Amino acid sequence: MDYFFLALAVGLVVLSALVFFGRVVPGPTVFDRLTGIGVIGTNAILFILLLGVLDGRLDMYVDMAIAYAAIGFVTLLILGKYFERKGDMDR
Amino acid sequence: MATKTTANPFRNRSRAEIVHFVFLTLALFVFWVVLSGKMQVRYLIIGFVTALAITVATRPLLILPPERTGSSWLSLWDLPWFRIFLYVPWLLWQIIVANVQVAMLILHPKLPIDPKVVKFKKYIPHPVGRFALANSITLTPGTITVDLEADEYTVHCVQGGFVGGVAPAEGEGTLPARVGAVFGAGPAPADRQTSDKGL
Amino acid sequence: MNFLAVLFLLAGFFFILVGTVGVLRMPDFFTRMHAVGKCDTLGILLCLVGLMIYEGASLTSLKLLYIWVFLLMASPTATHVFCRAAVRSGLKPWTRTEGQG
Repeated sequence: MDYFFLALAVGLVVLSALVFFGRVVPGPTVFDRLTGIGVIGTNAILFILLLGVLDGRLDMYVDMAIAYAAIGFVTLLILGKYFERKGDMDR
Repeated sequence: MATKTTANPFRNRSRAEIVHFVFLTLALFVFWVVLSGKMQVRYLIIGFVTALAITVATRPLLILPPERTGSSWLSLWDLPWFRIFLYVPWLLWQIIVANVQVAMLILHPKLPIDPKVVKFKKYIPHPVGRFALANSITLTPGTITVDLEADEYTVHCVQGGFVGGVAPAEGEGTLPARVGAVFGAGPAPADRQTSDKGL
Repeated sequence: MNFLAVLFLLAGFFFILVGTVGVLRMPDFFTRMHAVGKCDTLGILLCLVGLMIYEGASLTSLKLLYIWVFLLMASPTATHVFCRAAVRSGLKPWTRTEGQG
């Protein structure tokens, strides 16, 4: 069972790396980069939870996951609002 | 509900205040208990005082005056809870259907997508109803909400066939009709087209 | 019971994989948002259900349920905020050129 969770965690890291090098780095617009960062943030929540299962201390890691989810959501909202005002599509 | 109009506005205001205080304090207190996990009286009292303080601090944000709603004072927690609980299982089923369809589109070798943008109008008085309709459109097959003015939704469809559930050529889509039945729909007042830009 | 948890986790991981493939493959920003807003959301929701089943009835499951409800509301909202910002910044949606254009 531990190997299954370990495989899922490694798979999440690989997928996040794919998103990072395939969409965040070359993304044509700034919103593509933001989308990629959002996907990586979602993966990170699940990654924290899987680490908690592997560590045997899910009750502690789930609090971190809650904090990460809330902070990530607020960050994405602020960045979206900021780039909406800025309005340049070239970077 | 915003559709209720009475002669005395202060009665509605006290109702909005009571609903706001009871619901938000209770929800925050339950959240505190779940997060802390401790059942000693000291921690429960600290949690209750904190919940009450947050409720008082957010009172001007979550209670809308009559100028914003058009008819009466409205607490954002004054929702048709029972109909929402009936609506959520249907929404979850729609989400699963949507995901299978989008997964088939994405994994198709030829990527058969044909995006188009449609607009439709649907006025829901309750702000949470607007939020629920926009999020439901995003989560159901092939459509995402792009922009939302007071009552005009701009929807991006990944394929022309998916547009029928939200905004068919004539009549009303099933999704806006369902959300309107849950939250109570009505004709848009003509004099408040610009008051909801901030939502 | 563990079998059910593994089933949910694998289904969720499959949808996260599909979302990643969609983000990499789709031709423009709005179609990518379809992949992110739907597949990624359902993927992590299914994974959380699997973890809840694995954990059983406990306080940790309640916290996981809190994350579940939060993500169900927050993920489409973030998608909507990005789309609105892109539209108001002047990004034009991609259309298939073989049609009427």
